[in-house]
Amino acid sequence: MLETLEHGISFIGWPIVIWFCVILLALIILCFYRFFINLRTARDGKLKNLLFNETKKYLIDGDTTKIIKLAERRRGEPVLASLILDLMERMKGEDYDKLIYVAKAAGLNAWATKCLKSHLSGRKQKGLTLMKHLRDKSAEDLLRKLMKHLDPVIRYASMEVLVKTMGVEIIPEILGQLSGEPVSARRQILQTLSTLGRPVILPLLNFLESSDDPLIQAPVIETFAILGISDPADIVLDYLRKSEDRRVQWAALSFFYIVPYEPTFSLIEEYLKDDDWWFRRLALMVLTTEAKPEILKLIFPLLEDPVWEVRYFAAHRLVVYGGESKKILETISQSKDNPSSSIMKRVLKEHGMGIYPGYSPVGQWQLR
Amino acid sequence: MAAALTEFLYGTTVLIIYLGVYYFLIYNLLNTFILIMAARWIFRQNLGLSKYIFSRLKQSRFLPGVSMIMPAHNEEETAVKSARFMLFVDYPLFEVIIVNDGSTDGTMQYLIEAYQLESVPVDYNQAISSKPIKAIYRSRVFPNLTVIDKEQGGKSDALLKIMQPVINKPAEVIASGGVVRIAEGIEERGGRIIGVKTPNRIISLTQVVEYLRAFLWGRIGFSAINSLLIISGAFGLFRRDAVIEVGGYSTKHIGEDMELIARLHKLFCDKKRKYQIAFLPDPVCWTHGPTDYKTLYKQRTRWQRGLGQVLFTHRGLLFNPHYKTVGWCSFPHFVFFEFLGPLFELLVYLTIPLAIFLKLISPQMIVILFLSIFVFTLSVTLATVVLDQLAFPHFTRVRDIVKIMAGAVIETFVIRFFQTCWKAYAVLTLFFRWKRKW
Repeated sequence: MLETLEHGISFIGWPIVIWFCVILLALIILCFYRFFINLRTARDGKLKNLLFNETKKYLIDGDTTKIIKLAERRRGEPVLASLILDLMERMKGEDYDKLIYVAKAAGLNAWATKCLKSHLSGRKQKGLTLMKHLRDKSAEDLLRKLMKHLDPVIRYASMEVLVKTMGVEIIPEILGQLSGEPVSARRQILQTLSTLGRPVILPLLNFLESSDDPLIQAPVIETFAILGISDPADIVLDYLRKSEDRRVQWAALSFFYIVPYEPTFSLIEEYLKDDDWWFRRLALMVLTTEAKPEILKLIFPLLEDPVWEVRYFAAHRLVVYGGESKKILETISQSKDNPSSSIMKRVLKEHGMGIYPGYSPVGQWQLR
Repeated sequence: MAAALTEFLYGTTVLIIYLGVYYFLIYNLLNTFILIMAARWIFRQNLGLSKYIFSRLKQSRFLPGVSMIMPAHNEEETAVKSARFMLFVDYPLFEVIIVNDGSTDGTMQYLIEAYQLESVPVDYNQAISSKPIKAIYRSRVFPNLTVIDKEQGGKSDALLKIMQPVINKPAEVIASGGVVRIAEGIEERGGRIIGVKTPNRIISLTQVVEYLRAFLWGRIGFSAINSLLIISGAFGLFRRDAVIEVGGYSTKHIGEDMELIARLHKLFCDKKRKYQIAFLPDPVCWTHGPTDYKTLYKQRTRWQRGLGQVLFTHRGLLFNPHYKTVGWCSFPHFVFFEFLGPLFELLVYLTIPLAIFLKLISPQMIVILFLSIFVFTLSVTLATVVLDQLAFPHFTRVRDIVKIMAGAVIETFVIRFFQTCWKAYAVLTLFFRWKRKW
């Protein structure tokens, strides 16, 4: 038996040694690679510092000569592109416009287009982000191709660039592709469309009415919420009334949380008795966005809700109302027999410290 | 009689050595296979989010709110700093809950002073059983910070990165885990990590290697086939309703993090619900490991006992087709390689002198045999370092890579032997129910 073993060892020994040598060689190559990368990073760091100082001076005194000269000398240099991109992501107003001018003067359009053609995803993303700022219409065809890319991040980013570059013109094309996207990507794309403001409402409404899919309806309604415009309120109310899908109902309630709309109140009152406590709490949030005295009588029963989160939120809302309701809360908190006294004490103390329960319903329908 | 006994002894010795060689070979081949699977998964997933896309995601209004819970037991030296790391994460909607788990040192006092905490009346949602809560504190300066005083019982982008599976499949992903690495050697400023270096102490260096190996391939490999059995207690994200439904962490198990995952698998398979427990190699949480061998010994024996407890409690999962890949892949792996493996390894080590004494095998042959096996183990560890460098290079200096290679050699040839002994001892204490302290 042991002879077999000895024979076996001599048989497997060599493959193990070869495998080990391959790994060791890979590590040695990695060490050299890392060494050269570190050298390049150090060199790039120096250049970046120089450029940063020049850009700072330029932004302060508006003297373009030095920076343009430097930028032209470094035409298409990734360090310059990265630096300008970093700055553009952070700046607004006049400084932002000046940076766009430098970027164009330095020929970064060409560099961004080159990035878009790269097969590396990271490089493509960089090119897309730069293109979003530069709004170069010459890259339109390339961007349309990227809208059908395999990687959802690339698809989403190219749509974002097209929205920025072409405005409302591109909306039908993007909406046409939306149904084929994963749900998470749909939300991001719709959020991007919302940056166009009011003009996006009509195409979105048409799109909403043409779809039976709740996973299209919910994010579209939520996009209206992000826009914060009351134009589609009647249609959203219709969805709240008719849709049996919980995700659509949640999105509609979130909309009315951001855009209060008087005619919905009687319908939302019904949600205060919903079986799902998440809906009871959201209905409470929607109803209490405006401090109306007639709402008070609806909140008090919720102080005895079986779910702690609803009781806690109801108490917090009552304290905000102040006046009579706050006095009632103080009385309950001092009562020894009332089981809600401790929660009232906690809420009153937190109110004194300026702490309120933070909860944003937007986007949470995906978890329901 | 004596001849029969001698023959039995000879036969048993030969058999143990024979099985030992096969065990090591199969174990290393399996690890190599899992490593290749993990590498394939990492490169196909394209996990590297560009910082520009990342910053856009950070501003998204669609991200679900997250509660970060940090338990603290006698951690006056690190509690304030750790809380600061959490308060400055890059995420749009989160709260931080620190649970002061019966500390007897100044943990609570330090937290009160650092974050201007004030006690509020105790009233909370008792959704799962827990030991009594003495006090609840809220902060005047950080409204999203709550500190719970209980009776005894990362990089800033890590949260957004660990949320990636949830963002992609919100209704399906019930838990998501990230990599835990050893914090000795990191440089931080104002609650953010600004540099990563390898530690100088051998004990920490070998732990860096161990964690790298355990997290980078083991968990990714099992996650790829949805049979992940551990999400580290140090860094995991859970869906609140799923955790409440299974009753939260167990107070009866030492390995409560693994036990929770096992129960989640069981519940969702039993109810035939679609679910996913994900693991990502990119989000990193940094933790302090033991800095002396006595603490390391205690930690590892505790982990091994915890593993045994969990495997025994959920023994119904073993080779059970109802639990799919968990029952057929990860659970058997943990039973035979992680739990019983060290005991068998120790038995092999103890048999070697006997085999030499009985002149069954020459010392030279033993050296060649175990050198081949250890070189194989070392090459798997070094391959993990290669994968780490290619995919998520946190250590960027050549000096660090060389140090990790040295750490891998020490870990394979020295520390591994001690750990095998400790783990085997822990398994024996469980088997024979020896009196234990942990």
